[in-house]
Amino acid sequence: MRTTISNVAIKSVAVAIPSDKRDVSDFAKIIGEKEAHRISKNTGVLSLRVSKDGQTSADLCEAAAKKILGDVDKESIVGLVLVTQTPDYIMPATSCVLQHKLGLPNDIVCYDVNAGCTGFVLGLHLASMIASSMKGNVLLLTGDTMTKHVSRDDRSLYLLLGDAGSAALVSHSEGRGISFNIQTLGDGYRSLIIPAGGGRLPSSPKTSVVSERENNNKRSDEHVFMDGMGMMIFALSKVVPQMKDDLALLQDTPDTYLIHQVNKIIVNLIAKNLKLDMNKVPLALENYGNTGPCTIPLDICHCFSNARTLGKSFMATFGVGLSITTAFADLSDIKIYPIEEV
Amino acid sequence: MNDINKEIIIAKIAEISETDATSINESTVLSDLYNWDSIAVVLLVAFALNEFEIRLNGDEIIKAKTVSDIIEILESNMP
Repeated sequence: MRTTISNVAIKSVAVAIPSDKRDVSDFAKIIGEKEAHRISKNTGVLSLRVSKDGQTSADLCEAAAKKILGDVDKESIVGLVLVTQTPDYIMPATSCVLQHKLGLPNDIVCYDVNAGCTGFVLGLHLASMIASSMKGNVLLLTGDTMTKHVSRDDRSLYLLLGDAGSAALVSHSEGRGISFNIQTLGDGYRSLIIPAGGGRLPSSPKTSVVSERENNNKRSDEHVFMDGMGMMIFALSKVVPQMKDDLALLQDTPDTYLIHQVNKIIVNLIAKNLKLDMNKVPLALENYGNTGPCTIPLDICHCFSNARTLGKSFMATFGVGLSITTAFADLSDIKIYPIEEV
Repeated sequence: MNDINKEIIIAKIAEISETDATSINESTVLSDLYNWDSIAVVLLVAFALNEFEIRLNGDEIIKAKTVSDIIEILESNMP
């Protein structure tokens, strides 16, 4: 689905990360030096951030949102969109809890969106519709704490999925606009999944049993499962062609390509397939890992500053759902906050 | 495909799987190699693109059972 939302722009982006780290040496203690370094070299992840006990995605998003709200009148906020797969509660929506904690007015709309890797662009689509139609400011928050759901003995994910929370201000802006292409491929829903804990397979003593699964990985049905091979084929057979079509339709050549930081080899392979200038493809996963819906904000806050601007930017995210979302927006004038540790 | 390319491919498979190239031949079964996982498949797809300008999706590689299957796939996809 291609769509352009008029009279809207991203104004600012902030990210908060937990202060606790996990690195290659922690990984090596579990699977040995040689294997840990082989995996780390190829994924490009040397370390990532791990949320503390009791520290939730909402806490990280709250810290990031406070940076942005320091420069914006809270009364101008008309909506809050929270994208997370790790909410504080099954009910109520965590966006309502954050509306209260951030001291936002009652006269706003709050949505929780369950999305992962594609969450920033999906959330941007929803936030843009609200900002454009209500002619106001919308807070877009994305965050996940997947380290709490990854098995210690899953070598494909232990040093890949990191925790982070982000905030972006999406505002009504006359004459501006953001174009999107959103594709949903629900037939691949099993490729990236936590099978147990929802209505389909409720948590039970049986679902929490850790056992040996594919490729010597050990996990339970309450842990994240990723079909690594399947996701790689998805990236090459579905994501690359969509990006190619999207790029061919653009009137302007992007100054920056913000590609979901899934892992280094896949990002490089996608860029190589599309013959992108690697100087325009920032990488920010070395010390954060794949942070799901935060990879685009982290890419922005880690690689750019108010002195080094992004210009016209093509965003491409893909993953859990499965879904593929791309967006094109002028990010020349966004305010970028330094990454905050909490 | 000529023998030079076959040698390059076998050398690459050896490098990816961290196996001694002299112990690999066309009949070697991929799943017997150390580290033949999704990373290995991505590295091979990247190699095909960089070395031969061959664009693979990876699913062809997953179906391959032996080194000669890989050689055949690359051969049939030569631009």
